Amino acid sequence: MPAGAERASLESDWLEKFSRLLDKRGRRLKFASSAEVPPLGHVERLVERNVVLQNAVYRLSRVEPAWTRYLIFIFRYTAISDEKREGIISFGLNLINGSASDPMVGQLLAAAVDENATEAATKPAPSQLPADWTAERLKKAITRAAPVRVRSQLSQFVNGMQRRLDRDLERLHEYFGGLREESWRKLKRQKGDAARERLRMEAAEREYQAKVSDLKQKYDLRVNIEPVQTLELISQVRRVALAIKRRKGERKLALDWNPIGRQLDPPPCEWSFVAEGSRMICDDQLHIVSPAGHSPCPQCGKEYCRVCSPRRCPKCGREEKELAASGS
Amino acid sequence: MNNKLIKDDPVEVPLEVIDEKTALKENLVKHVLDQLPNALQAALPALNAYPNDSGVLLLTVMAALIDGKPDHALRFLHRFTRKWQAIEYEDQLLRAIALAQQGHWPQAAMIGKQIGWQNLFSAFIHLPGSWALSDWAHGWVRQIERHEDRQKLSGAAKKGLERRKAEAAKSERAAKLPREEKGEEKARKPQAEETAPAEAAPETSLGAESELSALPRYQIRIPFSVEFSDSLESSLAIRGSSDEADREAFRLRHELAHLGLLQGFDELLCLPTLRGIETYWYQLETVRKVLKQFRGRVLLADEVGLGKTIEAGMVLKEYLLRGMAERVLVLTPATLVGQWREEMAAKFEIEFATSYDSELRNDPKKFWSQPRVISSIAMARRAEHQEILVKQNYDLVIVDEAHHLKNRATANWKMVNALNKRFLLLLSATPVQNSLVELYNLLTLLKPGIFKTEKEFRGSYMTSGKPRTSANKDRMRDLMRDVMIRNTRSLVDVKLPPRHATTLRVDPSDEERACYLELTGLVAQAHRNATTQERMALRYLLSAAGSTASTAAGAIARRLESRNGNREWRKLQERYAAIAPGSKEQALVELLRRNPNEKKMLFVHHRETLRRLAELVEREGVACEQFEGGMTGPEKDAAVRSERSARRSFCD
Repeated sequence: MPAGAERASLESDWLEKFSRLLDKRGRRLKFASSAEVPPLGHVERLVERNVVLQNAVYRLSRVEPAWTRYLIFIFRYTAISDEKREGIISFGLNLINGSASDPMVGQLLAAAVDENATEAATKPAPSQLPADWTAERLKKAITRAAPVRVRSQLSQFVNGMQRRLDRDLERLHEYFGGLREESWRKLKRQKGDAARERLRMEAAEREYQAKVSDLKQKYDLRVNIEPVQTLELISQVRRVALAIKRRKGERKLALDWNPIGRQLDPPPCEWSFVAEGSRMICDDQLHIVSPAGHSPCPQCGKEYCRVCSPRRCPKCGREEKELAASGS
Repeated sequence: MNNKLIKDDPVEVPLEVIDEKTALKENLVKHVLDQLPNALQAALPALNAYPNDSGVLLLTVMAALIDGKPDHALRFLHRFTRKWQAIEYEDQLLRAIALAQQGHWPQAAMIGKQIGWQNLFSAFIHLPGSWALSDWAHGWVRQIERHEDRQKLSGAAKKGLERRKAEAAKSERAAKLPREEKGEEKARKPQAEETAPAEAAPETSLGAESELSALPRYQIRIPFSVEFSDSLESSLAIRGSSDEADREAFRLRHELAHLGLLQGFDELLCLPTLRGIETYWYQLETVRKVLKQFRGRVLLADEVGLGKTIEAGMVLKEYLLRGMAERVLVLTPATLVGQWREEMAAKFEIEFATSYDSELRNDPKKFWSQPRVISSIAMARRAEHQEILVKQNYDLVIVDEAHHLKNRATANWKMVNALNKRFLLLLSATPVQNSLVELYNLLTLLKPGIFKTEKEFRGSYMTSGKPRTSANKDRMRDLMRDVMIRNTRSLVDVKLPPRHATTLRVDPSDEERACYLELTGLVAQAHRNATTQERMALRYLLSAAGSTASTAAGAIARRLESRNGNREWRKLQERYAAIAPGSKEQALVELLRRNPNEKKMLFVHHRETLRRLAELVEREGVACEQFEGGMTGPEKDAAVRSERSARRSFCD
């Protein structure tokens, strides 16, 4: 240890003091990366690999250099059940189209946070950048995107809890089943007071129900998500313009190839902001959504676009669960 | 349906064909979601038209499974996996179901083990029409999982089953029931277990005399709810602020956020917040174990004086600091309510409402809805309060002197059992007093079924005729390791503060000696023909005479009032009353005079002795406080507060 340094435990109050010292600083950073965009070869193949549309076709229009803005959000979550788990999730949005930059979010963060990262000498004029999103639009995106990612990160923890819950349920079933069986045997043998044994069996059933709901409460997992930091990364990109055709409609989509992650952004899902998977195009407004955002209504089976009808099924009126509430 | 193409991409598809495909697909979706018969027949036209569409392929697999044609399903699934890559494990889920339908249960279970049962459970969300078919998919996975569980239970369970069968056969013979009827019941039982409904309403067996239907098995997925902190909106609103260029601050906050995650239960957060407590290593270990290993449900059975209350307080503080508990209920004997409040406030800085508060009588609902309450268990179990209590949800319930819950037939046990609680701490130095069943009852509160039913517990763990001796110590110890912590003095080997015990012998005066001899003679005389109750009263007289002369005089006077004693008793009472401060009282006063500035505490048995000594000490000009069991809670609290400024205290 260097002279004058003092060893501090991670659980000591040093972290708390340090946090107080930082106060509100460091919550946001705006950084223009100096990474330059090389010329792209085989753009068609690149697009072909990244863009899978299940019910539409597309045409490649042009490829050109451009600037874009990524918003990288870092959230801390706290999941409390009979145990507690904390963690951090980060995800990014390209403001040109809302595409999720999950596959390269680590690289984008490093490009701004690393000590060796250099800032672009000339920054683009505001008119060269995509327009800023309103706070309301951002909030909607975050409340849909974050729960899915938290759930995915918590899957091992939830698996463990699920195993314990299953074991506890099994134990309860065996115990109360045993109690009922004892009383039932006595009834069969006509041993003891029949009315009393019946009451016992009823009580065991009631108690079983109560204990099951007790367990449900015990394992109830409440997740609180709070924002930690936001990085606004301005970066040069190679912009690929596509024309998407669905039936008689056509819409444009711009996808960016980023030199930091060295990959093409996935097509956006305008409903859930997920990065993975293929996309579907809705008939009415030509929204781009993941298959989950265009899945059949569980009640009537009609496939419909969740961006066009976010609240309920247009055919049967079944209410749609909010992603944040259901966590799925 | 959320799948990625791994080979050729069918990008250029004419629009009119897309319409046709959509119609075929909609028909297929309808067949699959409604689980209509001949779903596979409906799938084939769509599949022939578009053999490489991921959605149609998966729907066809599902249609084949719904039709009970696993061979077809596996063939289409193979075609799907050659062309497409599943996003999660939806292909594995369908494969597992197909294998299970073919009767290859071990292979199906192997998939669950390889990718994780939870993953298999949740894979259905990537299937077309996932939510409508969740019960169907879950039902199959559950069956596969149960099959796997049954395989695991081969050795011991088989023996148990054989034993149960033998018992059933024996009882069958005893009851002289027709053999066929019993055979039917045995055959029916595993079937009932297999077809357990998810979240189904319970079936009652009471109507059917001939057979007992199994209790419903529940499949509960962990309830998962998400909420965003209030700071989300403000963090979105501050965009564009001036400190957006401070990279160093951003980097430091980034590291701080990650370092903050490394805190676990190994380091207790409550330690710096404790006031005036010297903690011992075994207490810290106990608290860590309760938090990590026991997940807040445990019987703390440390020997007397090792600090169970401190351990419970630390667990409580830890949960509060970590935001894992908000609503807390402490149940204690009535005499300890004030002491608990005092200790929680002074040592842990946790304020509690108590059952001494007038609000309990004025507005019970409001009282019990408070987040932190200490109550006497006697008060809580009263019908009017219990009714409110069982509707509350508590994060943590602590029961002090939990041996009062040793009997499952008592209102105490039933009330604690009925509480909605997440964490439960039972505190008792003597969990077993008369029988191991008492321990069974306590542990059943913590983990119902850990020792099966009481009958099975008696059979497996108790020795006939020796209710406190375990027949299967090792097995019992193994099971109790999950629910009980017991530290003993020999185990912890802690240097506790030294205790100096000295016996001061005091000889009675001549008159005291003469009175006592006469009393023993009279007691011996009366004892010969006395009933049990009378004998107890006589023993009490001797005990009173061993305390002070005035206590003896009071006790004899009460006997004379109730029994119209003869002249000898009356004369003895007068002699005792005439004795001025006795030898013991004089010796005590002498002792108190020696170092008047030192605080002293006297414990006495008889209330009369307490009052007599209080008068005596007051006469000596020394302030004192009395504390006795007959006082109300607020009176006790006032006495304790006053004792802090006084010099001496008497405690009954």
